Amino acid sequence: MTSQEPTAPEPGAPALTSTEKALADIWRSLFGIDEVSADDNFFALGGNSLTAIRFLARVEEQFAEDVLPPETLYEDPRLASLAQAIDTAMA
Amino acid sequence: MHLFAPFGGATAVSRDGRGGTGAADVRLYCFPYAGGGTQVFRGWQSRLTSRVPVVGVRLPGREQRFREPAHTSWDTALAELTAAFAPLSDQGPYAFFGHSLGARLAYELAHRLVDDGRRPPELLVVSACRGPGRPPRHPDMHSLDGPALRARLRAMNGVPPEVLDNQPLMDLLEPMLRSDLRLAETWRPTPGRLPVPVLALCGDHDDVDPYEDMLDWQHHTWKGFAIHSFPAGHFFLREQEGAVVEVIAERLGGGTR
Repeated sequence: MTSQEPTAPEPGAPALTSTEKALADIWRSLFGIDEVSADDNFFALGGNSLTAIRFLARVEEQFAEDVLPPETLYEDPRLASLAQAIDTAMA
Repeated sequence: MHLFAPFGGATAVSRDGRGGTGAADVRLYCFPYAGGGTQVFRGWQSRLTSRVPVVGVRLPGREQRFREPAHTSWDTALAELTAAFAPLSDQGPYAFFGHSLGARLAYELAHRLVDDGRRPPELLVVSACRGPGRPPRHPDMHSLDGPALRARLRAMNGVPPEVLDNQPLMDLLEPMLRSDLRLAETWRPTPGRLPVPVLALCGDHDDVDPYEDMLDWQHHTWKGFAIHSFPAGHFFLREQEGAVVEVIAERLGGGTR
């Protein structure tokens, strides 16, 4: 779940790490979209304070408490950066 | 700089540099309330035709501009907005919508553009904002302590309860919200009339900026004044989004879908 090794890429998309894939799944259901890439930005996809709470709660459920504080999300809201922050916190 | 959030086409900023998709009848720039981002306007485009591209105005301190400090003075806020809008104003018809703080920003920006000899907006929509010079009906919020501020925000239904109850998130967002409130509450309105029609929108149950305080906007235009009210409080634009967008669309002639 938290490995930084890239897993098999989906067709037409660059390889995502397993953490990135987990976050991408959360974003797909949160924003009701089909495609999420590592460069996507939480706020560009439509994130706001309410969706931030829902997203952070899902991260806590799937990873651990406090792996992703809200300031990390707000300061660098790209999927790849968030996955990296989680991997670092979980290491 | 992320000042513009173009909901009429996300890739268009690089194409025409003004937050839009190119040919349009009237581009609608939307200025948020204190603490607000551009997301509140995200749903508007799906209600409007492509003849009215919606562009959210993203102030510093939120969303993609989170790391920039929020504006603490009218001079810096208007300097940024005037510099960004001056070139755009000459590129085709546009209109302003602002809610509360956003209405004040839009009004002041319109004055500066007109003073600089730029093309004025086709329409200024002032939403949930008392007329220039009307005294406030409530004490300032920006100087309330934390618990008092949250209680007030809860009573106004201005921030979702889940957010108000989330201490880490509120700790993160409250400084920006206070800066915005201070800006709104230290507004020194530019006197005089604009050569721009003004459409005022208000909430029937809004005790912050009630109907009678919004009637004063009629003294700030040479081009016609209209007012509409909606059955909700200060944040009627969220609860009555469809009706609000419809009233604006009717005035801009772009139609709804």
